[in-house]
Amino acid sequence: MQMKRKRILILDDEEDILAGLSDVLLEEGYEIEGVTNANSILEQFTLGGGRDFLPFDLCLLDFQMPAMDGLDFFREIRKIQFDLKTIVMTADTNLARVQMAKSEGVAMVMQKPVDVPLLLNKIETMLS
Amino acid sequence: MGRKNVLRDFCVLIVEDENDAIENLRDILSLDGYPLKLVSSCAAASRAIGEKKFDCAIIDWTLPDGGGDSLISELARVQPDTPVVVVTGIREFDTAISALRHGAHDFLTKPINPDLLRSILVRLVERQRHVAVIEEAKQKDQQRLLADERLAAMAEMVAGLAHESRNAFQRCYACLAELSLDLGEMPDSLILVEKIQTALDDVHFVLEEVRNYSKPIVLEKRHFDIRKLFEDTWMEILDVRSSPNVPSIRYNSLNYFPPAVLLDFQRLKQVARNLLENAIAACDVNGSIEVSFDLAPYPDSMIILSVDDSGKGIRKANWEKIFTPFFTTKTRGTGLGLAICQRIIEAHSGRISLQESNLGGAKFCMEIPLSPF
Repeated sequence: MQMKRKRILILDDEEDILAGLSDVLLEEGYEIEGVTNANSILEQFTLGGGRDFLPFDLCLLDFQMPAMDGLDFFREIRKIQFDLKTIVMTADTNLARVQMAKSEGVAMVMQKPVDVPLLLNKIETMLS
Repeated sequence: MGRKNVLRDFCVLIVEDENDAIENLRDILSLDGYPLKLVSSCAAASRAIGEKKFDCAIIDWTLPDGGGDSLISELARVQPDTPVVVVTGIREFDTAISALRHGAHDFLTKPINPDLLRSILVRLVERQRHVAVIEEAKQKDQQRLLADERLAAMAEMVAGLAHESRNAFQRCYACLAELSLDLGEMPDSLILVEKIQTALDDVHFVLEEVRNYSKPIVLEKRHFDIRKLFEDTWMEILDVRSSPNVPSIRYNSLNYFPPAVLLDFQRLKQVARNLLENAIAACDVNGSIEVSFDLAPYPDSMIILSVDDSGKGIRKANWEKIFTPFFTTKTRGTGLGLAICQRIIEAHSGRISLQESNLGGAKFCMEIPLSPF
């Protein structure tokens, strides 16, 4: 019996990071939805009362984005899918907002630059 | 000898038109060794103070071409630090008071009493010496403030740099991961990718170390067992080491040692990690490390911690530089570890020093005063 492929949402405003991580995760056999713009993906999900929304197994989230802050996005996406497991990647040293994200249910916070093999390992563990 | 030196540097300007008084002043002051400049009019005095700095001016209040008051004003403008002693006729107390109000330091009446003159000048020399000490302290203070400001600005810059570079590193890592996929069938190229990755890791590590070092230290003190901190840190170091062969370690508690001390846990952990890792690096696998804990109760309660190793030790020539940022004797490492340790210990009002160890290698000794609350 073939397992259903796990769906991962990647949100990062930097194209190169998005492309790199997407390719590596695709290679690992995940189904990837990668976006650089938080607003557009939220709009897409809520279109038609959210009829087209397919739940994700994991969200990989950049914490600093120009259009929408990672924490705000996390709050929004949780309204759509409350049990979404989320890994936050942050370059920030001011941890107050990161702590807040953790207290609100972010599963893991990783300091940028995130080592790619380590990230793959964490994702595998979280989804197994 | 010392006194003579001071007097030789203490130049006195004498503005006097009466021959008796001139003779008198010259005899006394030359005998004592003060360098003198004698002039007999306001005009000549103006020229003199325009040409040379004087440490004191003795001015007759009534001169052929003007009054002492205007000369005092001029001197105050040209050489504001030069004290003035005014010479007046006997029973001219109104003049003396007027001179003092014009900013004169002291006054003498004619005929000049040698002892009085001497004591005034000795006091002025003393005063000048004190002013010099105060000025020097002020200057040092100012330099320190400037240095602090510069450091704070640099710290901010480095923090910004580290932050910005993290995203750039992330881009590199992501692209390299992607590239590795494309190069899957080309092992030689993959090795190159790995090398780039390692080089990036190194740069990232250095940046983070510098950021860590330049960050202002704000202590968050809490009570904890510092002996357990060293033991736990040692275990953590062993956990991530690839080789199980490490030097042996021994803990010594001398006399009574408090079960809990009030210090910054995270910062002290950083110190423990640095010192223990250095000790491991200095020893071979058969070596030994010793961590000692002692308490000096008097005059102020102070803990004394030391980390000894049986390694080769540090060359005497490098002892002074060992705490300097970016100084390192290792092939890898930023040379910031001990500099950070020193900053942390000093932030606790303590001291860290390098000594010779009885084990044969280096001994890092820390003395940290315990705050009572």
